[in-house]
Amino acid sequence: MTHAGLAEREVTVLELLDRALDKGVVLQGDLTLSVADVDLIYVGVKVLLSSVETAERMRRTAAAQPTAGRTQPDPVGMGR
Amino acid sequence: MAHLYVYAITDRTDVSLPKDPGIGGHPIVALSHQDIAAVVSSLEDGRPPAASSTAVRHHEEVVEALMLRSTVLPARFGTLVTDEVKARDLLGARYSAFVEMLRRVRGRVELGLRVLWPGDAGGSTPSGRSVVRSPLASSGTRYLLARLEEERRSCAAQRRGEALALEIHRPLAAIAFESAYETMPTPRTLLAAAYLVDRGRIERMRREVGALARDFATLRPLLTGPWPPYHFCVGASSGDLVSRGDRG
Repeated sequence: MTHAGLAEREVTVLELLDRALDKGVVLQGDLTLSVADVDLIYVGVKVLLSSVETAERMRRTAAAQPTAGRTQPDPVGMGR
Repeated sequence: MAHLYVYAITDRTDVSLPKDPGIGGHPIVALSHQDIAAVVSSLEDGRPPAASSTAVRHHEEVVEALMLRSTVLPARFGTLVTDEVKARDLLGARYSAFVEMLRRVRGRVELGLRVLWPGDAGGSTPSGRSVVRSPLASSGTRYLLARLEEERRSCAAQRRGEALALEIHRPLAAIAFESAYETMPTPRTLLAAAYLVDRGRIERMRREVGALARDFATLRPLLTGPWPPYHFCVGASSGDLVSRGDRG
């Protein structure tokens, strides 16, 4: 497992959370979400193109964030 | 109390469903209305799932499995409906909108792009106040002039950033069927975009982003996907990206 590979997979999780928690069809107005700690885990390679620097920077920023949730955007705009 | 967890809307009422249990441990079923269906599974005691990465991954796995065999509109994580009757009612109430959304995303996938702003390259805000040396100006005036100077540099940086973001976005939007983008959503993010792309154009998009990465050597693009079309089936929710380019 390369260093770049791990960073990119964790970034993929952040991209997934960004979509599934904030986009997509909503059938009812009120959603109740309880937010737990988010562990960064492997969901499959979805990174088509990136630089190691990008992936690593995003991963570090995510690791420094409080638990994900529907709160104010974090400085790099992901991992809500 | 809502008892059904919703994964997606599909255009195949007979779509082959995942065999494994859904979130909450119950089987995944399709509830149809005319020629579309909501794919759901029951929740124990109507308890909404915690937004853990495990649960979100489970949600995504179901959506992607459906996407292999049909056209889907992915539901937002945590979307619940009261019961089967309510689910069919909602499909009926929004039938035309869902059919139109399905038409737009059919044969297409979502690709995501993030481009980080380089550390500096003229884009950063000034670190300190400029010193205005004028023996005639009062301290109040000097302060205001310094703030004005900061503001000018910040606005100039903002305009440069937006111009650069658009220069990156435009050729990619031209490849996509539809796109949603936001320039400089955060101080460190130059561009955040989602592109709805014909399946046959994924590689072209990848090459184009690669070319842009070479042309703009200090920028760092991150292209991810293919995703279900989360950004392109948003109906009644907030948080849309601010601009939408549409050729369809």
